[in-house]
Amino acid sequence: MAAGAEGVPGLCGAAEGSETPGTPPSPAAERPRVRRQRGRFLVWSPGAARALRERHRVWGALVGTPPRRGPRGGAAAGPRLPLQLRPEEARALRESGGATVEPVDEAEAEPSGGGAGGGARAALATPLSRAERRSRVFRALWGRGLHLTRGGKFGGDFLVYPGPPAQFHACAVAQCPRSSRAQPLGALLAAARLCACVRKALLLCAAPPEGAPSCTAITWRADLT
Amino acid sequence: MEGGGSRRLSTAEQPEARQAPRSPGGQKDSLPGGSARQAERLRRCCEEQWRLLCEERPERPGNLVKAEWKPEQGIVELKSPAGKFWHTMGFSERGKQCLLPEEALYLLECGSVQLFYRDVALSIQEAYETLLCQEAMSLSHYQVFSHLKQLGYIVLRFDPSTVPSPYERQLNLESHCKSSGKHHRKRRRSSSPWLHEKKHKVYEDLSEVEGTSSKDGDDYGDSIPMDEKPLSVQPKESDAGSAEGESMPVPLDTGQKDSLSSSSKQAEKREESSTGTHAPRWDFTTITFPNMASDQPCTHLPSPDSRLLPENVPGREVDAASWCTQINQKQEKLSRKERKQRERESRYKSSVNADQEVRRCSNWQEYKALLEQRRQQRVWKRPAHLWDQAVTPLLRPEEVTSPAALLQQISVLQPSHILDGASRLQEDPEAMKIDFNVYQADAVSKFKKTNPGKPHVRMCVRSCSRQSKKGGNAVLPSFDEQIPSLRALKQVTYLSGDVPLVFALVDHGEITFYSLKEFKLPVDVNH
Repeated sequence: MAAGAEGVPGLCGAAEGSETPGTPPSPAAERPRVRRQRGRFLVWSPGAARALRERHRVWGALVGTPPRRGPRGGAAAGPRLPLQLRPEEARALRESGGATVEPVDEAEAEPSGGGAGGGARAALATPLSRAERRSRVFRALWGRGLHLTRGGKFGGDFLVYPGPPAQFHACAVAQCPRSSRAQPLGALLAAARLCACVRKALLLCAAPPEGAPSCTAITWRADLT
Repeated sequence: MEGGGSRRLSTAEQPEARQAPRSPGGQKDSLPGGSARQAERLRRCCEEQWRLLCEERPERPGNLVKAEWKPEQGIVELKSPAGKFWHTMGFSERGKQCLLPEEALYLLECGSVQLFYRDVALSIQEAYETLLCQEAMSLSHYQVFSHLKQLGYIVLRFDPSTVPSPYERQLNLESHCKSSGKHHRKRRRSSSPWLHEKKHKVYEDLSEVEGTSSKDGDDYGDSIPMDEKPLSVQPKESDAGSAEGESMPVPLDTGQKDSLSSSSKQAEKREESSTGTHAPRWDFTTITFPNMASDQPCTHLPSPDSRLLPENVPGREVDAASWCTQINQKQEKLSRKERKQRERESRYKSSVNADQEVRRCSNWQEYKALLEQRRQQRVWKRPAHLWDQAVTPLLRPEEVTSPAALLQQISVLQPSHILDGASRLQEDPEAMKIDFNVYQADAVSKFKKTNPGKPHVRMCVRSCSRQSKKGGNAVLPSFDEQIPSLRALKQVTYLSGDVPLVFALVDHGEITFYSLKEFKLPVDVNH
């Protein structure tokens, strides 16, 4: 297997740690609004969903119940609003000024680690939680202009697309570390094998407490087998 | 204007029916090439998605059922009569038709119901934010519910008290209760009294009646004083307990004709209605049941302790001698067929009580010792060079009947089942909860809400969420961190009874279903 960033479009040629938010932060009144209820993030307005997808490259998932067949017997349509965002998507949007997150209940406490800026990040020496690591990796990959969606189907954390998911195949499956301990080699091989079967690269992402997130791509050398 | 459901279209304005686009724009590309063709396809694809997102949910105003959200009870009350959905959803309470929050929300999204709260119609967004605030029905639960409903399943909430206990399942109590609404009064002329089972759960042990039959024409439960007499101690369940729990472990005669020989002791059991079942609180080693059989001298029954009787039931002492002389008076008339069958059977069947040695046994322990002793005598002599050493063979020749049995005996790894030892696990308040019962889609026509029967699967919803409650942060154990322990899996599988269990993992809107499957290692016995 070869390691390197060659096989993944969008990742080569850019320096580590650079961020291109994609769009400058818009004034607060025009930003899409995300509703947070008990740790879940939902977007209800069609305009906001469209803006998030087309301008901010945040795709989320449509989770509304689709209507049943129409009165004239048409086929059932796809899922509908609301659009549900992952915590890291919502956090990246909030931090980059792309959207405002409103809590539904006023009693909701701010999730820990959400409001910390860059200064607090440097001071952290304790091991990061999985959610925190994933959030950083998301921010880093998204900041390079890639489109990211859920990776649960392929055993990873994110699917990396060079362009809109509706138009392109995913080029890589990104995996964030589960803990700061060493991972068994067998798990690595299993993940790499799975990605080889579906013709995607495996991206192993690291988000150390100090330093910027980095990633390594693994591809299977079919030519040597 | 917020939300995609706050405006309602009249039927005339509904968009034309069209095919749902599979992948708008056709085949997907692998790499962005920057060509104009790609840019055009991208634009068209975005337009199509935008159009779909903006599409209003069509509703038929005339068919809309009005319903009101009641937050203090956590349910939705219908204000106009229910439609077709009432067949599989909803329940009645105090004369009103009601819906659970997840059912109401689903129907709202489908456009069958209009939800009101404080006289204001709720939009779908407001309904999501208002109805899904309970512990039992969070957004993850609702998403699983909605997904299954779209596939056509019937989904009801799980109620632990409706799961029959293993003992009840062993008796096949459930299916019998369903088939017989009333008890059978039919009398059969057979050597054993027929066992009458009513729909209740407690079995009461009455006096043992020996003999080939009771009086002909006498109906069971008739006013034979012996049956009505309360015995000195009666194992009655007098407290109204919860519906869950084990039935009394009194060994039951199933009362089948061929399972009892004519002269063995027979037990008549009668059920009594009771509000619940409990583990027995009586110590049967200290309680003696008077033996009223005809070869026993005991005919005098003392008056029962009045503390053990309900208020309106008097007890008195009785001398049963006169009654004992009256039973077995009528000749048993066998039909020709029965006589012939008896003749045939007598050639090879013999009553176990005809054996003098068996009659000398006064309890089960002695009888089993007798059986063991007889078995020992049948065994042939073992070769000394094999069996008298320090190391002996693993098997005896008579123990093994087939190569498969042989392999089974000498195997080191025994197959295990998920439910092994599950009944001994303690109740754990932190254990996983089962959320839904799921019934097959093709059973809709036969489905009855009041008696749904055994579900197809039970659903256990797991999600990764950090829900901050008023007391602090409660992080639910999520699949994101680690899979449940074997102990937790055993507990929840046991809770589910004999219905398979499916785990629905919800990862912020993405649902995946998993279940544990039984697997047997293949055994090679062909050589």
